[in-house]
Amino acid sequence: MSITKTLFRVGPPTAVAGLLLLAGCASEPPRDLLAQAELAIQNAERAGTSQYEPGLLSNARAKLNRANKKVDEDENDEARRMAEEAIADANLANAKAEAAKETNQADEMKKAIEALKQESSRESEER
Amino acid sequence: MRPQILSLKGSSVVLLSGLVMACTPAANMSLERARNDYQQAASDPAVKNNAYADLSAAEKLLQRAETSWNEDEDSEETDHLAYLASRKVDLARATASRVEAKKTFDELSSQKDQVRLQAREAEIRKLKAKKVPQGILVTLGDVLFDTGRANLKAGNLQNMYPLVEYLRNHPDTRVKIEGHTDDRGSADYNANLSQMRAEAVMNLLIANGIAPERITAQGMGEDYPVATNATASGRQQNRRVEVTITDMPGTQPPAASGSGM
Repeated sequence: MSITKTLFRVGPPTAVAGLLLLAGCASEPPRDLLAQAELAIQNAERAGTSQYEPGLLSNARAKLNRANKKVDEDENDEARRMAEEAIADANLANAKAEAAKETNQADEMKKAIEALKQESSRESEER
Repeated sequence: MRPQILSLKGSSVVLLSGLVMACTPAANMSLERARNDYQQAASDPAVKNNAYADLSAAEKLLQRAETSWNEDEDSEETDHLAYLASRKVDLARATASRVEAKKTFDELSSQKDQVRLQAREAEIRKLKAKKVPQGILVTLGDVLFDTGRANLKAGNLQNMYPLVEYLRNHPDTRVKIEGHTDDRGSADYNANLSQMRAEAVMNLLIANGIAPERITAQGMGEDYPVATNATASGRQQNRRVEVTITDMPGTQPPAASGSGM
């Protein structure tokens, strides 16, 4: 079993890797981040994001769910990453929805002005 | 011993694959993408000017991703940080477009006020109306009536159309109609004539669809001349019907303010 020997020879690095893995497991569950993610998603929902950015919002929701699952599995590093990404997705959804709303308002205003201009030009033609 | 060997074997495989990756030239797709995203956004003046804070947050995340890659070659954490950086760049773009849209909106808003004002001025010009403290005043000349008569002359009715149209377009206004005469004839006769002329104008408005509760008509007789009664042209100016259009329903008894927006 020469393979077994080789494996034993690379013993110390493996031990280091094992320690790193252990360290990963020992970190605390990212409770604050999970709460922040929940809040960010709720904010985005309240801003009517589901209408403008449904994909991003469900992305964020899925990642938060995954983060909670990873906490249960004691994989807190992955849980942290997922929570951080959920926050990023929710915030982006929010910002995109706000931008879309603002753009809509500007478009509405443009139309209103066109209507006014047409009205007054029609009136002056009638004179 | 066997289970231990097995577990060691597993870890070693992971480790070995890590070593293999380390030997390949350092490249991480998501990091590449984040770099590109950031550089494009950073060279876009609209993003730089309107979303500077988001852009620098993105830069910091990108630097963390670079560090994670250069020092640890931890591809999972690098991917994650690169993802966050790309998202932050997108956020900066969204912020920039929101700010730009807001600017456009504000510019258009003030433009709209101006256009509305111009439209209103055009309307008033068309009505040949004069601005007065209560609203606007349209003076209908004596051409509407034959001397001593109170029925409207059919041939001159087109003078009334702009008024009717204006009142139709502005249903939230009220109309006060006042008849005036020159000083020829007795005061009673003139009071009566001016009342009938004011009512003739009112009836024409009602016949053209203007709600009666918006309108009041009153004969003022000869007591409010706008010119001298000593000359023919002065007397002609004094024979008139004045129509005052007001925006405020409050100037009339609230009970009559039935017509609405």
